[in-house]
Amino acid sequence: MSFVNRQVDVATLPRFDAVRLEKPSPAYRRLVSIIVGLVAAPVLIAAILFAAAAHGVTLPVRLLVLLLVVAVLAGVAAIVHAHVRCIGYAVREHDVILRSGIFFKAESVQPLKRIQHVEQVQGPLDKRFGLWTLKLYSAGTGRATFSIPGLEADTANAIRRFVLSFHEPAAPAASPPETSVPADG
Amino acid sequence: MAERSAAVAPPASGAWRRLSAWSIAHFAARAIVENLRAVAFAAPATYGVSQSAWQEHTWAVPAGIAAAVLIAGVLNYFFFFYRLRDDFVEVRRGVLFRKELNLSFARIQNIDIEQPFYFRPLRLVTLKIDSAGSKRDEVHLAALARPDAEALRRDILARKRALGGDERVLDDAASAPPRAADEVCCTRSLKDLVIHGLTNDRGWVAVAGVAGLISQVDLPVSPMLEAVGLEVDRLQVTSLFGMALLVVLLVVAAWASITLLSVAWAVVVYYGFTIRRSGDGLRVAHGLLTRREVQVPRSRIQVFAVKQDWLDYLIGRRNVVLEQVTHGRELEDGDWPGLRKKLVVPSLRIEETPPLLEEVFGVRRLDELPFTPLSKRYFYKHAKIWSCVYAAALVVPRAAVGAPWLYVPVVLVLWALHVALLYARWRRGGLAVDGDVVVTRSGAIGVDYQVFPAIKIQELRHVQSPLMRRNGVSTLVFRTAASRTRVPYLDAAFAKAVVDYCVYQVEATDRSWM
Repeated sequence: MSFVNRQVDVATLPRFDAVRLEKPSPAYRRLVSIIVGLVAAPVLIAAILFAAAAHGVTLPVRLLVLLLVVAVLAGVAAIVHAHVRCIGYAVREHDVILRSGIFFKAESVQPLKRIQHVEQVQGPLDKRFGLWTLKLYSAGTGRATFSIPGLEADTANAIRRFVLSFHEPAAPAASPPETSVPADG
Repeated sequence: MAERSAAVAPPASGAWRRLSAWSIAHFAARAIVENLRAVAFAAPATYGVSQSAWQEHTWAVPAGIAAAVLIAGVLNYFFFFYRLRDDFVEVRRGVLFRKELNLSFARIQNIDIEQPFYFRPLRLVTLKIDSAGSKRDEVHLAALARPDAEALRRDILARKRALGGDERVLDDAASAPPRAADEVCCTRSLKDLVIHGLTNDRGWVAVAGVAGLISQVDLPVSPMLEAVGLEVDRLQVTSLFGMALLVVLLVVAAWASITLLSVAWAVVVYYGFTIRRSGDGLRVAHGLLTRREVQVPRSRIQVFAVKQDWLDYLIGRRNVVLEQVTHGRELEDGDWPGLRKKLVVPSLRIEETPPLLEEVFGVRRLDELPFTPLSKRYFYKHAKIWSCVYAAALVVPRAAVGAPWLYVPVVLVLWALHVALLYARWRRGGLAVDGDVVVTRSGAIGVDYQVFPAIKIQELRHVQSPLMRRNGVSTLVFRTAASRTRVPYLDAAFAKAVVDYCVYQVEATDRSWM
């Protein structure tokens, strides 16, 4: 047995926070705007109707309510957009890095070696914009904790293929990801 | 006997085989367990019916239930077939709805041997074959003779190995005769178990279960009390002192009985607890009525968790939990979260921990490791937040309190205690990296550890708020296949170096996490 235990120079290790982060497709921002609009529109209409026609409430109060609703909606829209702006990802040779969070900025590192399976998801609205969400599953999570939203089809396919084709050079016997896909898929 | 020997013969493309007739007991027991809830619900109703309709034949209901259980057992026995194929186990079962299950050897995770109390006199065991999927894909082969079960286990493991599956997933039981290399490396005496029962009050669990049952049934309480000589109507408590005494007595009696239940539970579950070394794995056996024997390959243990609550801390004990892979899905099956996949080593002495840790992960140091502390800001932040809460409590509802002269001191004492606990928690928190093993420390009074080799990490997360960034601190979240560990407010440079180092360990070494 040739056991070696070299010292690791931690200072020279590749740094996870030194990567250049890619952004989701610009179309994703438009998509998010539309979703926000779809959710906000009925609320806004209801508020306008209330301001225009509510009986037994004085006009200033009605206008105040309308203003409040508009302010809340604008706030929500701003938060959602800030959230989208904060998303960034990077693919390294051995892992995928995802950054997210407006206030608490979190950087997750997902080693490719630990990925059990990959899911590519497209909702009905995504379809109109040709966008995909890529979900990476590792062991021990029922649900994906690691999902990259707003990817164009080419990018999503490329990342998925890269992730699935990954096999460590040191261990050729490593099982291909397909065989370790859990039953719950 | 014929069935028993049939179980061992390993035909390449096996014929369908039936279990021994004793397995009827197993199926009956399962029928009871699976329908326990239904029975609990149905019992009051049937009781009422039997009272009014068949006053003469109240025995009919229990007899009917017993007959139903027996019939279910017999039918399940008659319709249960299994066979071993080249690369999978096949099971056919179900009386009305035929169910066929193929469990490929590659997906088998664990093969455990269990001996329920009703198989004890017959020296029979149940072989439980556990898959990577959900609980539903489990195969139970009941009423096998112990040597046959062990032969079958070796056989299946050998086939799995022959399939060229990930060898590291396997234990070595396939190659080595199981008894030869066995060497006991940890046992628990009866005294340890009694201590475990006292410090880990599981009695409450039993009480909750019983209370749940009772709330379903409208028990005639006062007749029962009368039966033991207490007449509720006659109990006239006149003085305040008498009342207080009665309450204290009741509380003490309740506590004592719950503690007794808890001790009984600990002894029944963990009686004769032994961990044996067997080649690559550990073989854990315990249980008074139902004897469980679990074989765990060392490589499958993800986290060595040390848990110590304040009572454990006072008497110098700690519980160790060997955590294996948890499946998100298992929780949906109505299982108790984590009950199955965790191996608890009850109430270890402090000095017994390092040898066990060495047994599992090959490192010895734990308490004496140099832990990197959490930033003081962690304590300040929480102390500030909670002080505000207490200040608000002082100001706002004072008028509404019955005894204002008592209120302020009580709030102040609570505040002081709380801040002291926060301080203790901050002092306790820490992270150490010992070679390729990561150790996190937490807890306020008792000391909790999570120990895991860096290569077991599935995902790493580094979190910072703008304020934290300005102050140069960050929070780390380690996720293994068994659990998630969060270490808050570490020095940012250190935290980032830990991330890079752990990622390097995962990616540059080809050691498997399974």
